[in-house]
This record gives sequence, C-alpha cells and structure tokens, in this order.
Amino acid sequence: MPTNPIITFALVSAALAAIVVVWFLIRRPSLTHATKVWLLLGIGILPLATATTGNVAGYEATKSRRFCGSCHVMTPYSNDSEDPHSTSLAARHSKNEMFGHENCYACHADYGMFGTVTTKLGGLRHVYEYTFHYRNMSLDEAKEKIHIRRPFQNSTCMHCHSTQGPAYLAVKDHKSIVFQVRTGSVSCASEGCHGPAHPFSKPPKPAKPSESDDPASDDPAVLP
Amino acid sequence: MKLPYVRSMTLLVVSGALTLVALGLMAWSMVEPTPLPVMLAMTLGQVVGTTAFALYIFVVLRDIRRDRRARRDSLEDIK
Repeated sequence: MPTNPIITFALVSAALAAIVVVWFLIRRPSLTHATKVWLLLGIGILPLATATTGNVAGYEATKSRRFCGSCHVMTPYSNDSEDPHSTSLAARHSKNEMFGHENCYACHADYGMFGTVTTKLGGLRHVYEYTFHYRNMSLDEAKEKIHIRRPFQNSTCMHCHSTQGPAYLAVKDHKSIVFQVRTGSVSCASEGCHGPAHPFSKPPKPAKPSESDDPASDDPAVLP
Repeated sequence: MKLPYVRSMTLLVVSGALTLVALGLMAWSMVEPTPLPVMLAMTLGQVVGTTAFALYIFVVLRDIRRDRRARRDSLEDIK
C-alpha cells in the first residue's frame, strides 16, 4: 500500500471509477437519469480526480533518484549516490535529509521562473537519446560516451550555497576566487575544487610529466 | 457531411472501455513510477481518458437535445 496520500487518493479514485464502469459494462442497464449520473462519476469525476492527482504524483516521481536510475545507463550514478561509503559530491548531497532522495533533480534542474519547464523539456530529450542511442549500449561503453550536455552551472550550486556566508568566505580558496565562482568562470564541480561529482565516470588521469610545468595552464578548475 | 447515427449504449460502452484503459495506464504509472509508464500515463492516458469523457458528454447532450425536440414536437401536436 503506498504511503503517499496523493497516490493513495488517486488509486482509490481509480478503483471506484473502475467499479462503476465495470458494473455498467457487465450489467448494461437502461440509460436512465440515474445511470447517467453514475456514469458521470465513473467516466468523468473520478477519472478526473485520478488524472489530476496522478499527474501531480507523476511529476513528483520524475524528480526521484529511483526514476533517474531506472534507465540502465544511469545505474552506476544512482548506485554511487546510494552508497553510504561513497564520498563523491553526488553521494554527499544524497545524504541530505531535505532532498537526498531527489539529489539528481536538485543538482541538475534549471532554476528561474521557467526552470521546471526547461528541465522537463531537457528530460524529454534524455528519453529520446536513451530510446534511440543508449538503450542497447553496455554500461562500460555508456560510461565513456555519456556526458553532460553543457558545463555544470555554478548557479545550481549557489541556489543553496550563496557564496556570501561567513563560513564560505572563511575558506581562503573561496575568498580568493569568489568573483570567478559567481560569474561562472571557475566551476564548483571541477576537479581540484569540489568535483568531479561522479568520479567513477571519469577516465583515470595520466600522471603529470614534470613538476616544473605551469600548474595554471592545465588547471581543470578553469573553464574555457 | 452527415455522421452515421451510433446508438447511445454503443458509444457509452466504448467510452467505458476507454476509461478503463486510461485508468489502467494512470494506475500503472503510480505503482511503477519509471519513465515509460509515467510518460504513457501523462500522454496516451490523458488523451484516452479525455476521449472517453468527451464521448459521454456527447451522448448526454445528444439525448437532452433529442428529448427536448420530442417534447416540443408533442406540444405542437397537442396545439
């Protein structure tokens, strides 16, 4: 039995509607005023209640990690988030009680007035890509080929981490590049800062050729 | 173009069957909230459910119109 009251309401409405409709289909009563009122319930009001609450439940379901992880190519990402011993950025966010079970959505959703809409449109693109390109791909192959469509936006991190709190600014590295972080020229999720968020998906880095190389020249934290 | 007359009972049976299909899709999406069921419920389920309700509304409105016409005709006969 689902614990979510919205889902419970939707399923009860669906069950009641189904009972009325099945009764009508089996008995085929004459079309009196009373029969039509019963059908208004079974074909109209109760299914509308199911559809309304079902849409809300469906929308909420699309935000859960279980939903994201249900495509096989996302399984390693989902498993990493659920691993209590993992210290990746994604796994650490999944331990947050407020949004831990929705950590994929919390970090990958767009913000702003139309953020939800653009995120859902992006999700449809994911479905398209999965159906036509990644459905039959092995996990190893997918791990190499799947990549984020555009660089991760710092504004997503700054939705929670404003970069203005004293605890944030007390960290010297934060204070020295706070302008670059706010403008997005340095990514929070880059290696050397807090990333990568999904380290298992990155190829192992080759060893540095020598210590004399300019460290800033290949700093992965600085986006082009 | 005149549409063929379809009996109210036939239309309501179709409407009921479509309602069951729509309810099934919606219930499936809630029991198993993965991409395929959720997308089917939010697209096909909505279309099928709306079609079923539209058929019901059509039958009810057509019956009301027919009753009114019959009543009017009977009143004219009395006059």
